Amino acid sequence: MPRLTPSFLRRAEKINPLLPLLLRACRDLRSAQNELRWLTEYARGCNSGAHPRWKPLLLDLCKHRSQGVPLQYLLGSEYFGELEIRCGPGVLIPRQETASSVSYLASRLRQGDFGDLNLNRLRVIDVCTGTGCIPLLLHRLLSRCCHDSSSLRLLGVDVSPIALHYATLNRQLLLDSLLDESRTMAPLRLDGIISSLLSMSFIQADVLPSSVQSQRSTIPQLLPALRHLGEPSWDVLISNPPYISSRAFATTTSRSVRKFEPRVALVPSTTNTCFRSKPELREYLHHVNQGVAKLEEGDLFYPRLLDLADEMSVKVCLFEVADLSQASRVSLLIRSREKWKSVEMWRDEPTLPPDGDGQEPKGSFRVLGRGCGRSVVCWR
Amino acid sequence: MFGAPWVCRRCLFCATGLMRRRNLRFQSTAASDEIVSPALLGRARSVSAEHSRLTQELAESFNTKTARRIGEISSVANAFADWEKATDSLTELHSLLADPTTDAELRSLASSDVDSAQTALRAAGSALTTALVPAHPFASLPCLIEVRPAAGGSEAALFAGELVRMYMALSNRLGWPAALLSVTHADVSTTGGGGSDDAAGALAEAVLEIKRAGAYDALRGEAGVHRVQRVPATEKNGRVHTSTATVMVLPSFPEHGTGNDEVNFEDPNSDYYVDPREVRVDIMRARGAGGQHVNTTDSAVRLTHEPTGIVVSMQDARSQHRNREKAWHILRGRLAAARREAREEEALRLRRSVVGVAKTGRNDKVRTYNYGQRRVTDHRSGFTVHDLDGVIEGGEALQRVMESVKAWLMDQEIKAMVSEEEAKK
Ligand SMILES: C[S@@+](CC[C@H](N)C(=O)[O-])C[C@H]1O[C@@H](n2cnc3c(N)ncnc32)[C@H](O)[C@@H]1O
Repeated sequence: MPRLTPSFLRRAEKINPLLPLLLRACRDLRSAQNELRWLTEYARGCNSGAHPRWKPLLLDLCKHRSQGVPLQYLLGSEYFGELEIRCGPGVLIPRQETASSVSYLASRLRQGDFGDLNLNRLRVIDVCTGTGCIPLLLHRLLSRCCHDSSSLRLLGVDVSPIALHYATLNRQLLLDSLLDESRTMAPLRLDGIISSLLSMSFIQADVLPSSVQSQRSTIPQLLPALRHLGEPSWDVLISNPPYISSRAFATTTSRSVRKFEPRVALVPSTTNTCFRSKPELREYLHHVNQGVAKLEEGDLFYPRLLDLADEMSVKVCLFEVADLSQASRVSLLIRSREKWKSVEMWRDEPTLPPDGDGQEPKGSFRVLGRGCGRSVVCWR
Repeated sequence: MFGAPWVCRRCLFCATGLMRRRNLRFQSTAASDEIVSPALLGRARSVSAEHSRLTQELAESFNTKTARRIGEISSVANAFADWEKATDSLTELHSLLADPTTDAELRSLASSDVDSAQTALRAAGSALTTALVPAHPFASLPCLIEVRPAAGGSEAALFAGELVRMYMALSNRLGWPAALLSVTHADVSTTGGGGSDDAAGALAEAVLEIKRAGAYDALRGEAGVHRVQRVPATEKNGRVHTSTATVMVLPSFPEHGTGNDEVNFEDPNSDYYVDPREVRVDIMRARGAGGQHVNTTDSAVRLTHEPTGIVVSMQDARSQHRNREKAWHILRGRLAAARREAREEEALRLRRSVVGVAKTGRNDKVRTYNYGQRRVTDHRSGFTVHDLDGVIEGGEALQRVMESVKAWLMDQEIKAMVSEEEAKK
């Protein structure tokens, strides 16, 4: 990271006295100026009317930002594809790379690349849904191209009550804006879109097996919960699970993420899961991969997700991963299970041509796009 | 100095129906009845001569080629015939009034007819001009105005900001919806309060969108280099500085194929099509590992059109998706304008030998804002107003300058047409 020299800070201060505060979080002038503009717009909009005291509010926001509080938490939302998604402390901020993978998944689904799936009545489950951003974006992208999307079914699952709160809120806000739109647009076209959004739901469930008595014993397991719903089978399984190892959390994860975003969303560590101790966790990993893929601590969710995919007779899976090494481990794991016809790895921007500076994966897998290794996709 | 002493054809703002016609005198030549440019009249005369010759030919022996040509030019020939008729009847009325032997009753009848005859002539004149001068292909579109400082350092950056606010004020006054698509502030410390969202202070670049059908036609004459002469606020010795800013006017295409058949940019055969494979997209990526490891707010998108090297960067919105849309919007405008310009350049090259046809390139100095003399002079039309504040505030004075340019542009187009016709012979 570039050091902030006193002369650089003075220069920034001359442009605007608030910029040095923001530079502590952004590190470069261009982003700091952008953030200042967005914060100013927000502060001005917040108390328009009776109390035009936006300046103290702005100063306060900038001070928080200089401590590393994510801008998205201060402004209460993040953009995800064409959607604005509400978020706040306690829930993971949606990432742009995730939106790129989901958009690309939608376009491949539309092209029919994953075998014959009926898009009009597609059933999609998003495990570890957080703000619900994935099913909401996928709904937007799929429902507008279907003739009649009223039978499109999407379900989000998360263990965290805060996540469920945001997911439900985001679905409601989207619904409100669609209802607004339907007043001006041809209502017939929106009917299907609205009814599939109405049928989208979010449930609380634990994805990991409860091999050990955990404190979360009151939270149901995913499969029983689905059986209870009467919906045991799904076509597409998407998941952006916690995938950071405790070592990477201490070293490569940025300070703002570490300090302010929920650890349970990031690190599949022992505190997060049913495993009481590291040896127990290692035991489990050894057991699932039988030495083929050499799984690591950060990979904990993937074998479990693949088991669930089998149980739910899922036909297409999309998993987000940390990098190309994790992508390789997950792909090898998928291949070793011999139930999947094809596996692909996608980088940050799957639709852009490669720019040559990415690493190459192990084990002859097809890799698409530009940037870091970001997801693994498999289908039967 | 420029062109023939000529006429207020129905002015530019009337075309969009926004301004009541005022009795505007331009270079104080025309009296109340309107005259059509001599160049245009000459052209109309030769077309209608061709029309009657061909009609004669066709009567003798049928020929599809001749018939087609007649079809092409008949609207001009008809408009010219109407115009001649209107001119004749006005002349007749005038000579009746001038003749001392005309009896009183006839005289009063004639004088009551003069007004309507003049109106008819005006209408015929404008119909003739419209028939002759093909509308600019982007005429009906909304537009984007890009302003950048050129020579003169921070003074130029301040002036660029003033120009943007001038166009915003003009749009505001006319009730045209205008929005800043992107603003980049100059990194200068002399301006104080910068860093906020509007076009206040010193600019590095701004793109203003005027979302009004026909705005392109109304504003295309603004393209070029604008020059300011004044003593900058920071100048201690009271010396006058000269600085410049560049204005570009681009067509603004509807963002989605909104049933506007004229411009379909999704059709590869259309002139407005941009092949996505020729555009390199760069997205500001998070440093390091990305994904869950960082929560960057960077949403910048950069598009590079590889065949032309045109680059558009956009970072104003928090939404990367929105920045991408805006960048495509601007890229489409720039490419269409560049293609159009290339074609005009080619046409100009073909008639290089012909004198008197000037071109308005983006690099030509078009206008001077002189603060010492409180005047604004447009170098193309030669028109000067002594109401600098009125211009800078986007007032009627600015509209008057723009009308003079519009008339000059029309004159140029006619001359170009005539010379092209001549070159063919
Ligand atoms: C990386 S976040 C992903 C959020 C969202 N899908 C996104 O892409 O922005 C992981 C989510 O998994 C949830 N989670 C963690 N452990 C879980 C478990 N055992 N069962 C179900 N969800 C869990 C967390 O609450 C968190 O919301």
